[in-house]
Amino acid sequence: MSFRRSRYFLGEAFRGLIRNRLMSFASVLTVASCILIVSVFYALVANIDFFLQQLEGGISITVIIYNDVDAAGVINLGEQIRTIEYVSDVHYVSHQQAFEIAMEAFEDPEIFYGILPENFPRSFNIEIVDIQYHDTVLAALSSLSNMGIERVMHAQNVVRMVTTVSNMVRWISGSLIFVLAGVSIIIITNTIRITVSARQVEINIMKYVGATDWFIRWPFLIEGILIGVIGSLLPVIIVWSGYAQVIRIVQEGMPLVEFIEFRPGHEIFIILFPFVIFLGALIGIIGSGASIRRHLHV
Amino acid sequence: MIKLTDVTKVYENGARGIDNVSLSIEPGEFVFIVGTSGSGKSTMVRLLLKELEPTSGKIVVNGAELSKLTRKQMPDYRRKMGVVFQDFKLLRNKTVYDNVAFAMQIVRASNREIRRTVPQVLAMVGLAKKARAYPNQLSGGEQQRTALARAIVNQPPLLLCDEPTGNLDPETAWEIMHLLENININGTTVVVATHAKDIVDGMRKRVIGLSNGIIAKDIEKGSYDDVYLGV
Repeated sequence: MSFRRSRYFLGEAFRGLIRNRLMSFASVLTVASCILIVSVFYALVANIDFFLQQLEGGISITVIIYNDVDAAGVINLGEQIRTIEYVSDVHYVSHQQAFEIAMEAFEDPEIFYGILPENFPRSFNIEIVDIQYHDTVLAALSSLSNMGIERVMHAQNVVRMVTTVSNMVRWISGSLIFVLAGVSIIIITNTIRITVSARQVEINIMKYVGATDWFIRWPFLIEGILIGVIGSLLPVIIVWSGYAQVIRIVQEGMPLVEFIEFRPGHEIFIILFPFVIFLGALIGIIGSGASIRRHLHV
Repeated sequence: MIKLTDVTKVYENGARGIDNVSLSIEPGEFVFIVGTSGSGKSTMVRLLLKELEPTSGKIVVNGAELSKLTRKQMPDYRRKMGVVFQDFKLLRNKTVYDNVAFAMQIVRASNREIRRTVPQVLAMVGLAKKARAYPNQLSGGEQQRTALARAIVNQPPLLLCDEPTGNLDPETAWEIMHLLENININGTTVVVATHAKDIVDGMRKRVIGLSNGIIAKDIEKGSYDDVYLGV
């Protein structure tokens, strides 16, 4: 498409928007409402996901080693653990290190009076690639139980809960975005259909004069894209400007929440911004394309 | 230019628009297709526009057999003919200038060409001073002149007019007919479907009379009465 032709189509699209300003405004508001819900929900999901990631990061498996296992046995056990699939990192904790960790945790050295570092068991802290492989790694560890493992400490219930909630949130957010996009397309289709119907005579005249389908279609498609993009820009701006304030209000109003880290705004909007602009444009193009199709058969 | 061979159009409700019509119109001719309401004039115009498909028969216009035209070829076909309707069919939201320029934009004429040609054509139909007016600011005659300017701006070899004077007073109707005559003198084939007896009688051109969908008579330099006398 040449520059001159693009300029013509763009001009026609803007003229169409202005001429049918009431319907255009209604369409923009409709798209904006749907995209606003999508944006708010996305910000929420991004934070829940962020929280779950932090939680996942904190969940590791600890293998306690029998006191009578010699140094070679410990090294051998460590090597065996490293060969287990989905294990991303294995960290050895000596008697001394375990003692220091306990000292740090309690802050009051008095309560450790008379307790020697040797009283704290040696262990391996195991990080796994993804929380979903938690049970697989546990099963593999059970096969190494005769290599000096006293017991395996883990938080299987927490892991299961985190995985379930995480999957649920992702599934709900996906479905919600899908449903809202569908609703927007239906509404925008009907809105543009009214506009197109009102311009049926105009379309017929264009066809009689020899206009191609695309010559007629382009201004309507651009009109739809403009409605979609303007309708998606508004909620992004609203969510963008409100996000930091909402976090501040939540943290001030609920002191316990202070310990929870929120996902930084730029991390959310670097994904949300192009996504909703694309979604808005897609909604607009599908909506206008669908509504003009049957009016072109003249 | 136009050749109809045994063309019949039967509508879905069973009504016959035209019945086994055959005719030939040569390049450069000026032809009236006359008849009362329901005689088949509009059906013939709509068939030539390929707005309707014939039930049977063959239509060839500008060398193109209409039944073989694909949807993609339609715009090209319509660009080779100018069309003037009784109700003008102007784009209400565009000025006189833009209505005429629109036909040129469709054929990808350059802006320079549009700026040069449109004023010339508007001057030719006597609308030079109305270029910036919108259709609702024009009289019926002026609207029809605009439609005429749009129809001829791309210099089509064929001009198809469906009751072009139907909504006009007699004086304005004659002005339009003189314009059509001038266009014809310059080499364009002009086909006018009308039931305006005075116009047909005054012009003395070829007259094809339709009655109940069939050709009643086809007379060179005829009049309305010539065609229907003895039918």
